[in-house]
Amino acid sequence: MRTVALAGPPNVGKTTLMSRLCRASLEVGNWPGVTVERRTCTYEFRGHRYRVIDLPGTYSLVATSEDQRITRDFLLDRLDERADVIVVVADALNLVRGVSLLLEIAELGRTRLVLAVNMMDEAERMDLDVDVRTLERRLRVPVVPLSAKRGTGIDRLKRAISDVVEGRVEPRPPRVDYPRPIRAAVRELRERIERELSEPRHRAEWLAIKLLEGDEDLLERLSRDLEDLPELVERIHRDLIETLDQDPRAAIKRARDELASEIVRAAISGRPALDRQARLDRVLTHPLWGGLLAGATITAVFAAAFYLGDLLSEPLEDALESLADRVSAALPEPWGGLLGDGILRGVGTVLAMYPYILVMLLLLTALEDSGYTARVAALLAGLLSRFGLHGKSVFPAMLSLACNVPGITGSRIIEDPRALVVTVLALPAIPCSARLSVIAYLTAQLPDPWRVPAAASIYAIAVLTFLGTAALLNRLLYGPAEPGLGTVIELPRLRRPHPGTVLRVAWLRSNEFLKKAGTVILAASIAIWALTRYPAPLGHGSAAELVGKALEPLIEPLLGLDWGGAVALLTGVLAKETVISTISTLHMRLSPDQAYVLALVSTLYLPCASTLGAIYTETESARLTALALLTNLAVATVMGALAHRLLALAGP
Amino acid sequence: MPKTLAEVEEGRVVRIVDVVAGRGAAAMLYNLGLRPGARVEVVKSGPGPIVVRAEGSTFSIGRGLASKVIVEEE
Repeated sequence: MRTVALAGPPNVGKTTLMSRLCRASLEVGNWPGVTVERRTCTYEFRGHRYRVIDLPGTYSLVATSEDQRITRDFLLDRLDERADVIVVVADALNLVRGVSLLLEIAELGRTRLVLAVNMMDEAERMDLDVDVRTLERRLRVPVVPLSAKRGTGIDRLKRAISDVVEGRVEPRPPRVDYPRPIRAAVRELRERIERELSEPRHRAEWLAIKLLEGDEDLLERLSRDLEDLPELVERIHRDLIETLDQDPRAAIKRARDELASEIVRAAISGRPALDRQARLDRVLTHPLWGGLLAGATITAVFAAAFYLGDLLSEPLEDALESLADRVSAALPEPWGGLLGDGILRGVGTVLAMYPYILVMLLLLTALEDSGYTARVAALLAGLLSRFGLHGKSVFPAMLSLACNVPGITGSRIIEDPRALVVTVLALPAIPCSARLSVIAYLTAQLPDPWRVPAAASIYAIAVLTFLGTAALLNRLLYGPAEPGLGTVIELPRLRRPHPGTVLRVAWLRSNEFLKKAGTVILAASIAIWALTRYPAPLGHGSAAELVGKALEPLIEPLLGLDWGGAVALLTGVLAKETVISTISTLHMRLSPDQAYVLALVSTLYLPCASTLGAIYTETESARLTALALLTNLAVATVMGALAHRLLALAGP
Repeated sequence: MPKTLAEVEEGRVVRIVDVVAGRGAAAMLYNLGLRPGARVEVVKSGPGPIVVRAEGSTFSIGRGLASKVIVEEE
């Protein structure tokens, strides 16, 4: 098997290119130990199998974020896999960035490179001409023009890849010519590293350049074996500032960029007309007009999701319901009960949510693909960054209103790893549609004028809890928030969304939800069924009841709920909608105060089992998952106790 | 006459002189190419976030952070 790595800046269409290269067989996972998505796929070409790895989008190889660290470590062979070819994907309308990255990778001694110039269709439409031959001649690397969106140039890319792997073409990319003082400094550092860390020459040289570029992660790692390295780098850095009269980091990057833009200038003619984009951006990021438009768009997404979702979900629900009835009637006990009442009904309630999620994912993916998501994020970034969130946190939060699971997996669109973790951990506070049904059911037990305000207040409290938890977790995990950090957002070019890409991505994302339904929710359904049935049926001494009664002394004074409330909350851990069925099975009578407190607490307390599962898969950290669990539980208890006290004070 | 990125008129091209933001934010801007010496075009000044174009990419920057980017007009 031959390995091809795709490298490139964010938003150059690497994911689309990948789906074009492989058609199917796409696998999504995480890079070891971090929350960065890792996609691989395989294809066959001329009798050989190729495995494609999508490296996280990065502008440079200086590691200032988790994504960049992964890309850099991969290229340094630190991740136990090695690419036979690296394809640098560039945007035809912004070639300098891609070429500059290519030069940076080449510096590392990785010369088996191919440059893929993507979005050629858009370049043509904007009358921008890219002369591939000139690029090839100057870069001495195979250059393939293509459009991943339209699917053109894909075979040519496969050919170029195999040419390089089989040695028919030997790329010899140019070296960047740094100013003399920098060259001298690199030599000094390189000799130290070569001698004392026994690194091969080209790698030592590359490490030296990166140290001068201010890669603190590398400095820390290398200093473990070379104690005086920080001082040495510091001294060289100081000397360089004096001789160059500028920051060496800027000087190095500039030398590379200058070479890149010189090469690109020679190869392109015409200037892309970006005025229309600029005019659109002025409106879309305007607080009033852009805000109104964003509000309207978000409302439309919800309206469509609920309207179309209802249409699709009702027949599905009915079908599952009647299937459950028939199964439980046809099979002997306990199998009929287990399969019909336990599994089919449990998994069925969750599956009935699938249509809503699919419609919402389709629409949100289309918005993401069009580039509009980034504009909404830009508008909200200022507000959300105060809570340690990212502008794009708004989209997972929206998805979470349908179901937390796709919300959590959908958080991957957030580029800032800290904000990503904070969003994932705080999201369970957002009431999903299962909790909506609990809220509706319980508030219906209130006297008339209070029903709607009660339900609305629970939503308001939930949103505030989401923001509050995010701010709290951000402080706990990362210390005081740095103002402004989350407010820089790249605005990709606005374009018409590509139906094929949207369908594929939405399908992949929604599949994760189906997988959860088949595993965690299945197990949870069986567990609920058993707990409420053995050793005796619910209401006559089942296991759930015994635990509920044991919890009563705790929950009574705190929240004003009896053992039935405890059982409802307990079963709700597995899936929130079971709170309703537990209340009805137990024939619980709730006072209006109790109904409100129970609605509030079941909205906020422990995330349901499948959400916890999603948090764990996403963060790959038991510590963070436990943290999410504990914060939610603590916040819910405090809020519930507060509501109980206030209601008791307010009157009978 | 140096001023901050938040004060530049729409449509002007400026050169970044200094970034006086916190470490994280400065590193992020640096990484995106918004570093001392870089030429940026201000696509939108206000109200709301500042939108700039640098090296062919477009970025939106919160007003607070933009007022920590010192620039000079050409």
